[in-house]
Amino acid sequence: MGRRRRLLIKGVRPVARVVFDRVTKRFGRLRAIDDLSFTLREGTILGLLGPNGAGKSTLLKLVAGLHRPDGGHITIDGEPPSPKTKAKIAYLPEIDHLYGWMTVRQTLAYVSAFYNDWDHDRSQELVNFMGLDLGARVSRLSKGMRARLKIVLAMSRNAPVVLLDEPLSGIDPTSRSRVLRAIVSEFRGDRQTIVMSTHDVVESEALFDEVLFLKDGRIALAGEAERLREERGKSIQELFQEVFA
Amino acid sequence: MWWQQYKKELMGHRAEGLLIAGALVVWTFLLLSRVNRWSPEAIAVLYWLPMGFLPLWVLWSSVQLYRQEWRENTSYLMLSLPARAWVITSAKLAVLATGVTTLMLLIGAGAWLVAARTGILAELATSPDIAAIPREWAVKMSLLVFGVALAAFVTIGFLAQFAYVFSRLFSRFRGLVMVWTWILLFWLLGRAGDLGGLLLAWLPDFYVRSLNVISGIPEFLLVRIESGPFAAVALLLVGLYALFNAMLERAVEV
Repeated sequence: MGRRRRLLIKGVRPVARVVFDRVTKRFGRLRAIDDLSFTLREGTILGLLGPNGAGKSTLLKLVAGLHRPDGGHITIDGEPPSPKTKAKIAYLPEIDHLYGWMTVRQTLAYVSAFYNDWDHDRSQELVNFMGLDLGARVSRLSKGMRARLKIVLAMSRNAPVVLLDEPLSGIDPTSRSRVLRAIVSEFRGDRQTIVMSTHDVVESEALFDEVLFLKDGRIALAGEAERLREERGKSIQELFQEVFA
Repeated sequence: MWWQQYKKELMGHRAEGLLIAGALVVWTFLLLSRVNRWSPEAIAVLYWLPMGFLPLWVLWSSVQLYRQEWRENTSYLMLSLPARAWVITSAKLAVLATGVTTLMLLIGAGAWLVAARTGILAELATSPDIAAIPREWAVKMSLLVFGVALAAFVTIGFLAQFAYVFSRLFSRFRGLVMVWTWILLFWLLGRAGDLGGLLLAWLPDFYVRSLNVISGIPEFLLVRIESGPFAAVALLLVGLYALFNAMLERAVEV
């Protein structure tokens, strides 16, 4: 699957280039991100892997413009995070960030009003695929249903960069497979990059073209998933256990 | 985009708005049910007593418009939207202005009802001094008072919102930072007014027609009001609003 996607993007001009240049983010004395430098490869699904507290969420929030770096620079297509770069990013946080009093329909209408790249047909398809009731109030949805709604919001757009922070966290197995299928089916390798953070590698391993193991805010290991498997003779799950043992 | 944001704010805070409006209506009708049992003066005084809480409500709801975003983690959505900060801040201020306007109209309607049902209105109408007041002047003055009150309430609310968002830049003692920032902002406005009186004295003054009625004879007086202090305060508020937007767009975190 990964090879096929890379063939698709061969020769295609990058749509959104995300660059971290010696980025540091502190919370008090804790360095959540520590002098981190990397460039996100366009047209891939990057697995951002690490245990709790490794800095995965902070990294995604930095790209989404919800945190500001204390040191270094982050650029998205050469620009620091701003309302302009936010238009290129679809961000799904781990926590519930939607208005509980809104219905599913109102949530979709509200969020879609801010994006020119919103695909209404795809949104409708995803709502049906996820089994969401448009009239249901967000606060009344189960955790799994809320997670599905968040996926609909992130994947209904043609955003060049999609940031998914633990999209499978706390979700039952049925919803997990549905969420993963939605991510795979809606991914557009020729014009999209997905960064998905998780500490649960088993289910999502097959999805990743690239992986970045984050430990104490630093890169512990990074590269193409297939190459790492070949070179080390281990699955990503086994590598995860090795790196974070 | 702006309309969606305004609608979202309005719908999100409709419950508390309806609660306050409902309480006001209930209070008015409770007092009206006491007509002929209590003295008209007592009813009138009791009607206006709770209105003293209006500034407190403005303060509380202004802060709530932002505080709720962080308390319920919806700040993640608010700050990740590709909207300029002024879209968010002006929509929240517009909702505050809508709430204040609605309440002021309700209070005005309630006051008229109380005055009419207690007989105070009829009593006033027979007074030669009141009868001498030109209707046109009364309407203009009512609109002026309404406009000034609305501007004052929105300013109080905006400064409270500024203080709250500013306090979000700190990880500790946020409550203390917010209160002190709010006090400091009022002090700054006062200083700006003083300074404006000196430096902007060259601005043309404006005049308000005040009315004196003596023995049923109306006498108009032109009251000169220096525009310098107002211009300085307005300029400072514009600057603070720009800073407020910059803070929300470039400094504040979830």
